[in-house]
Amino acid sequence: MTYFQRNCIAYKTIVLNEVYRTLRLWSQTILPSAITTVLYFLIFGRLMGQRIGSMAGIDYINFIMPGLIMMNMLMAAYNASIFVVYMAKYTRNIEEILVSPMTATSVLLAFLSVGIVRGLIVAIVVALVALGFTHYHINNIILMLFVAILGCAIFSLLAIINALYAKTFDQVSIVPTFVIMPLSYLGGVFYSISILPPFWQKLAFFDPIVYLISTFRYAFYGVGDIHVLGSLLGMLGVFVILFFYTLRLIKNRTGISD
Amino acid sequence: MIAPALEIKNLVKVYKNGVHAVDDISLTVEQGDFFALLGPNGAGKSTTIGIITSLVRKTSGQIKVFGYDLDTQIEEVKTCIGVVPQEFNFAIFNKVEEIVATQAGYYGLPYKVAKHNTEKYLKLLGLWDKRKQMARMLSGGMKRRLMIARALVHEPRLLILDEPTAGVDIEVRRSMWDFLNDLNRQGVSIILTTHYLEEAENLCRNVAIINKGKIVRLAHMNELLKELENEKFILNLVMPYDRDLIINDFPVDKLDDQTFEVMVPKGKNMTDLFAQLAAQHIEVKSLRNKSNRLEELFLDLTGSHKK
Repeated sequence: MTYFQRNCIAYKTIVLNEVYRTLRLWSQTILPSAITTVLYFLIFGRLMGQRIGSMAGIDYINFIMPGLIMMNMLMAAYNASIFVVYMAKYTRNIEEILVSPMTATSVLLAFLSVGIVRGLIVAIVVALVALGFTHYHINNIILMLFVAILGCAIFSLLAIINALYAKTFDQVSIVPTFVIMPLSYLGGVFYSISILPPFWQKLAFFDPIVYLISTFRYAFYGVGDIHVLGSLLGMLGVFVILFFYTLRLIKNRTGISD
Repeated sequence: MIAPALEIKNLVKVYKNGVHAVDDISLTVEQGDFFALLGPNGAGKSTTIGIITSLVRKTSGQIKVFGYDLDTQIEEVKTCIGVVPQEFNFAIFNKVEEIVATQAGYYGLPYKVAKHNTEKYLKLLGLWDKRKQMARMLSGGMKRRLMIARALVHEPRLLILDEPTAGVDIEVRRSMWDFLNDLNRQGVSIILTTHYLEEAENLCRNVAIINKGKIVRLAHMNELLKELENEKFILNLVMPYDRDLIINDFPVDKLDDQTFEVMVPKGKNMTDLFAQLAAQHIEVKSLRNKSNRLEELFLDLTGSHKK
């Protein structure tokens, strides 16, 4: 067997184990997203949405739908990757992986895929829940998938970095509390960036979630707040930087043995 | 020429806090050897094993496993090694068979081979009946055996065990020794660190004693034991002997009327001792070694001997 084949088996071992776990523990991994989405749609979509009318030329309930999918998806991807890495680090069974001949790249791709798969499962569930409240069409399904995977990948990488540096359980929640939450609310899930005051509008342009949500919304309706190609290139750039940074951490055994 | 199972040259590990955990260690473990790595706590044994198994990055030095260089052929090196760490490091909520089969997956074994090997090693280590049990429910001895099964599932040529019998009862320890001896006879090279010096004396052919990150002695076990300056024996007498026992050239300590501790200096033999006892009409009921012989030497070499 070649090294490539062996790495594929090892990669599959990590990813499938985690996918089984996600599905087995669906009430903890998938259900919460479905419940919060129902509440968001009920409160923001139905009750308040009717008063708001439309946003950027789209019915308000339809306007918030891509953002809600993206927000839940990013959280799910983040939670999946941080759980697999931090728990493995905490119980030290990450050593099982590190003593094996798996290359650091395969290990990272596996951890990353765990996040992407969970993110996509949650995205599908949220999208199905949304169908119970509104009808929507998808303008560009390839772009939608691409942005979804890229967003999950970026947040999985952030989760892996957080997990490797975290020394206690409390530190695991740093990124969700101080990065994902504020950036999501500032990221245009519930409004168009164009309605923000100038100062906040400028600030929002430094928020990566703005680009993810805008391009994602563009993929659904063909309208968005910002330049699509520029956003995609920017996000790809962020992904590449984070990927190689995380790879270095794994190779250096940062947060594991040194 | 057959490449050694393990060749370490000038290995150094300096941690970020400045601690020299490993300070210029060089040693060779031949193929088929049963090698002991001894040393007090914090001597650098686990760091050395961590470096060999690539969990810890070395500061400098060279490591070769069956001729493969750790720096340039890391995948080959890792494939050759199976490691049983000192602390439990499996997913405690997973089932026993899942832990072993998953490890096989990490090593890239195809499903059928992984399944076959998992069954083989769980049976060999007496864990087959427990395969569906959650790992955290196992006893301490079973957890150790689980880690051995996991380390062997990809059938490595070199097995490294870091204190494998720590905290297990005597019966389990003995059966583990038998198992390791069998494995060694089948051609698997074994490196073992242990606190139980008796374990090293019984199992290992070669030994390196490490202290403060340096090797203080590297020798064949028999050679090492020959160097002992003296050995202490406990004599149990048939009849109580209420006077002081005096035997020329053999210092004696009286423990009680029927029990005496006799020191046998290097170069002296027991026949002389018994001849003197017979001359004094003293009958000996039984005789046993006072302390582990290796322990004496170990304490001398690591400078921990109080005397």
